[in-house]
Amino acid sequence: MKLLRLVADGFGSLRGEFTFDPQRLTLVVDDNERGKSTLLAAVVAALYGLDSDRRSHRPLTPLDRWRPWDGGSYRVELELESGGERITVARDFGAGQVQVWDAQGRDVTPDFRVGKDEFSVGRKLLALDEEEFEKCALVRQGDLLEVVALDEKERRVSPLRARLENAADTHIGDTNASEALRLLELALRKYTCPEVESSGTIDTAIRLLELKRATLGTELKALEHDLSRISQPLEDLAAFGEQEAATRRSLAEREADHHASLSAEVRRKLDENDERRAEVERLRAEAAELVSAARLPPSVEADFGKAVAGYEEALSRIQALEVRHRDETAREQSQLEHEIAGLAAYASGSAADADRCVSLAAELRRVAAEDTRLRDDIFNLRETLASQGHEPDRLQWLAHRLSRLQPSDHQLLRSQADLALAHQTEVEGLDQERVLGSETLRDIDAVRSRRRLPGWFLIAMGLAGLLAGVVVTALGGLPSFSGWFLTVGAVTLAAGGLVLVSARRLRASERSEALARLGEAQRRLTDLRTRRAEIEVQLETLAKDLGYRDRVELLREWSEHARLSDESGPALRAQGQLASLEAQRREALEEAHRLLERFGGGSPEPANLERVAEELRRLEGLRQRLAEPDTSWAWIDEERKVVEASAAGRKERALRILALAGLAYDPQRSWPEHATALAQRAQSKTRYAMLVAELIPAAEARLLPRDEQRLLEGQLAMTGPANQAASERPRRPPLEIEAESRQLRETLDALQQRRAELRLLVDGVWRRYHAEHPECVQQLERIESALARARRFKHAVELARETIQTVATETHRRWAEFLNRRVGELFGTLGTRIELVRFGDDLDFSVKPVGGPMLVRGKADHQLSHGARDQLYLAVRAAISEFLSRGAGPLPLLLDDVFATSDDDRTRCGMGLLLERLASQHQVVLVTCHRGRYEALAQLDPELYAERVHWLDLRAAGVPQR
Amino acid sequence: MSLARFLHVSDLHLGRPFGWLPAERRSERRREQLRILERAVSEAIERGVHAILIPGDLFDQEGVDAETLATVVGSTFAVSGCPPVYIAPGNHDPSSETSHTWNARRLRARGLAWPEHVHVFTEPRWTARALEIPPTVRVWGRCAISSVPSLDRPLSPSLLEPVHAASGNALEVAVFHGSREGECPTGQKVTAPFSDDETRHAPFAYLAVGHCHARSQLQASEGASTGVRMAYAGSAAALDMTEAGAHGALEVRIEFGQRVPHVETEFVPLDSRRVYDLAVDVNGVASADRLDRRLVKALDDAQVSERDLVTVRLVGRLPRGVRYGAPGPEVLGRAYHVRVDLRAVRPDYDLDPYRSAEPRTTEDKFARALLERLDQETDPQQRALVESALYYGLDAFRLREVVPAYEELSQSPEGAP
Repeated sequence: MKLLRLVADGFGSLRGEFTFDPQRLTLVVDDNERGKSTLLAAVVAALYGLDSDRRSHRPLTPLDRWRPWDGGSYRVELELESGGERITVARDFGAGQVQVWDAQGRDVTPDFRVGKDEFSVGRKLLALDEEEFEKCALVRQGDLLEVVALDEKERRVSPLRARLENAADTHIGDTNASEALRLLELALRKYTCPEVESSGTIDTAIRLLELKRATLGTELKALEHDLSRISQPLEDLAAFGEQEAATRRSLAEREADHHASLSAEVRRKLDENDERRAEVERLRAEAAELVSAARLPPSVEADFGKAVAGYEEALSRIQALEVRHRDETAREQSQLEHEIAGLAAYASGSAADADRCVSLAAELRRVAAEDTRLRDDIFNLRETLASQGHEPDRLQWLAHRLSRLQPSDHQLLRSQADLALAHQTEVEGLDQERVLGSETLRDIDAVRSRRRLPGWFLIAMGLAGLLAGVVVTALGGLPSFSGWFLTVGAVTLAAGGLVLVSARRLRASERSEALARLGEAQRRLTDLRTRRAEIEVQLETLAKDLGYRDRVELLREWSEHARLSDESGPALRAQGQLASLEAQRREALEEAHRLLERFGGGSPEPANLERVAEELRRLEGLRQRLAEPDTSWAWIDEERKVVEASAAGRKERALRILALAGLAYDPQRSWPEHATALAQRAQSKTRYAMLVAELIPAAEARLLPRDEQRLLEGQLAMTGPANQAASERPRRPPLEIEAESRQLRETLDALQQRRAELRLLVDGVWRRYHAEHPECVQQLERIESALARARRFKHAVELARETIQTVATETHRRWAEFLNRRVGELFGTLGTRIELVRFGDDLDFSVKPVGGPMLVRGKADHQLSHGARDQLYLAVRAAISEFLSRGAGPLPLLLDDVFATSDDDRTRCGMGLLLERLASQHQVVLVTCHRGRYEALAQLDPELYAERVHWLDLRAAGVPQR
Repeated sequence: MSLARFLHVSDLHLGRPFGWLPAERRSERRREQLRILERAVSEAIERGVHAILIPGDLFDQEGVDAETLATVVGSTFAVSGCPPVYIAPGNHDPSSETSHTWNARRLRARGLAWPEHVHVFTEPRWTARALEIPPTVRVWGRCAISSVPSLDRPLSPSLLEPVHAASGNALEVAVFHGSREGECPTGQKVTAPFSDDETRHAPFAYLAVGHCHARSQLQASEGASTGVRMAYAGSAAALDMTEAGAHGALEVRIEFGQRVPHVETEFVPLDSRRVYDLAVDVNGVASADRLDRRLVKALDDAQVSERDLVTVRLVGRLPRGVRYGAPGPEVLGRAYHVRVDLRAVRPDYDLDPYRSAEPRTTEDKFARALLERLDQETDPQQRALVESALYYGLDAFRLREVVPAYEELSQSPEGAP
């Protein structure tokens, strides 16, 4: 493949068109930091594109790295020749587009598609991926220094060999086979196994894991063995359990037999106790029957006889009282009837009549007394009036004359006097009010007049000014003079008006108030006079009607009458009372007269009236006594009641004594019969006392205590079910039963002890098994898993190692063969002091200087001059490139100032190798910033450089300054 | 028509070691198993079922620990109102004369005894026990007698002879532990195998079967019944991380009487924990932290709660240099237990160029040699080994670092190079 032309339209700092000579070495010269290296990167980018995967390129992807800083277009176009055909590759990185044209301008882009949307032109043309291409075609600055390291320590690791190995072993060249093998070996030597806490070799870990697995297996087997061994103890445990149950049953039978014999004794005791209890119950029943007799008092019979005797005596007294009551009643009745007959004249009267007679007598006495007192009072009053010159005729005459006056007339006459008094008082006040208002008005008017005077003066002055102005104007005076007069006149006139207005308004509210007060006083005064005149008219009319001369005469006589009436009023009132009293006396006498006529007549004197009333009341009393004959003999009834209560009490006592003795009273039986029955009850009391005191306690003492009885009953109840089975077996002596029971208990104890031991054993094994077995199983699983992992890791790493060793040996051998041949060819024509370069299968090399011995490996480094080393490197580099790109035709060599750190001699040697040997087979592009050095070299070999070097000056090509 | 109701609970595996859980959570999960069984009994009482059917593997092993055994025997089934319980021991807890679990004599020797209403089928042949209510229902059962695989076909005509002979007007229900051919997961022990055809021809209206830990059922439209003929209730509690989904029991309702019995089942959830199986793509993650974040997002998307169990299968290519051994605390805190499956993860090496291009370097030749060997290898373990060697070699060449990382590789389709 030959590069022909590169057009950079924005690639980093690179812009412009660059033409390469396919037949000669293209020497690209430019100043430092102007984009020489970018040119080579642009070639690679045109062939392979730029990766934008951020995951594999951190922190900057190639696409971002070469993006133009000015933000403009970002594209390159590369024209090249491959296999005799011209191809143009155009990549627009900004738009992410690729286009490939052939020499005829046809778009052959699809022919270069690799994968989904990748267009790797270089891979299609050269069968090399990007890393391989860079490894073969690109030689960067500083690479030569690594051919033989300057540092002694680094030199010992033979970088050339390492680089050769890297080139031979990997695409990218990071790790060679030796390093890979070392890493794999290291992984096997340092294997961390947390399960056995090992970080040693894999074999150690596996051995420890196997050991652990065996241990755990043994533990598991031991646990399972222990578990299987408890099978027999479990069987024994079950058998012992059954034996224990059988023994318990036998023991239960023995105990049942024992209980059966015990229960017979218990039953006998209980039967005897039952009989005794029956005797006690019988005695208690008898005592219960006699318990009523027990409560009889000792003197019951005597008490009963005394009560009965008292009762019978009371009955005889009652009969005697009833006889006496009847006799006395009959005698009293006849006496009363005789007295009533003597009062026959009063038979029609009643108690009300008697009361009325008494009240009339009292009324007559009161009227007589009151009459006397009033007559005395009238006499005294008349004497008093006469001593004061009072004429009763004058009063009667005035009363007669004024008798025609109506009540309204009296009212009018009375009000006239009041009105005259009020009129006089009020008129005086109103006059004072009116005078005060008038004075106030006069005072205000005076003040206003004083104030108005300057106003009038000013008005006059103003009018004068105005007149003067008019006159001056009319006379054709100075306008200013006339104007002054007019203005002053107007101002003065206005001021005068203001003064007048202010004087008019001075104390306006006070003046209005005074005017109102004056008007009100005048109005009220007028009202009073009008009313007085009206009354006087009415009085005049009334006087005329009554025949008086005028109202004054009427008023005088009316006033005199009123005065006389007031002075003789008490005497007149007493006279009226006396008349009223006389009327009352007459009415009382008439009624007394009528009343006395009903009972035989007589004078209506109070004494007579009182006598009739007394007779009427006596008659009423006799009638009542006759109507209630028993009233007089109530003491007999009271006494009979006392005797009856005494009889009832005694009978009650007798009955209570009978009830106390438990006997019922039978009215059909006589009291002596009851007394006989009571005597029999008294005898039962003695029997009861003997039962309670002696017979029943003796019988109860023979009973079993309650607790003992319950104990016996409990024993009997407990042994009841067994008794049934035991009763079916023949009876045996208790001692024999006891001995058998003791023996069975000993057997049972032994079985229980044995069972407890076995259960302890079984439970222990069981518990240990379940506590440890799962953990052991889990550990075993974990260990086996770790072991499998370790083994797989070991086998995988060993397989990788073996495979790498196998293929590396073969690869290195082929590389060594090629390098020996090719480097020898290259060196043979250079005339260096190195006669022979030999690479071994391990890709280490040895050199043979001319005429010298073969220097093995690292020793050769010290024998080579710097120039020889550079040439050796370039030869090896070219050989690598040729070997890696075999089958794809000679690759262009893109050299990035590879001699930058070399001195002039080394550079001249290196250039010699490039121009004389490599440029004939490869297209060589060398970029450098050492313009002067190469121009000097060109002057040293002018023909060689003129013939084989194509100078490409970027500065001349117009690459912009960065 | 009459209605018979059962609660079908199976494969509880009480006393399971749960070695895959962190040590501090194993005993907690074992206690949860006991609570799940108690909840099953409560559900049976509340739903008023006529019997509880337990077709095997009630216990995880023959010698279950004393505490679990004492709890189950002494108290779980002894609650008031518990209906009759029919247990057919399975291959994990087989019946034998020396069984510590089922042998009544040995239980008595340890002071234990199953309650009266718990019936254990301790014979390998079909035996029956009639229900008291409803009276015309018979429960048939058989037990596994050994933990080793048994190839006896429980539904073969010869073994079913006693059932055929006893069949009358009663409703026959079967309880047993067995493998349904073609349905049980590969790798599971085959015990008492039976085919769908044998199931359809069996004289049972319903077959309550245990052994398979995933819920499944077989429908039938003719024969002894219609509707669900046979069902696996699945494990009542999630036993490992492969048992995805909800776990519980089946309530079985059988209408019978005038016509052919008709069977319906209803799932009754018992385990409050769910098992999730999530796949997470690791392609392009830049670091272990980023991968953890992807895991957290996947858990959130699947609405995983703190009570759940989650298997996260990582698939894809992990970029070179990114090492991922175990999830971080943020992921672990999102669920009761999180297991990360790295078997399908591969390092992000582009192997195609090694296959297609002419090998020039040692690295090329190494990769080509192992890839050729990988292509020729058929043994999955050997393939995994060769693949691991390939990646270790490339790590050495490319990363200059070799650390154990590829021991979990499997030959899964998505992970195979």
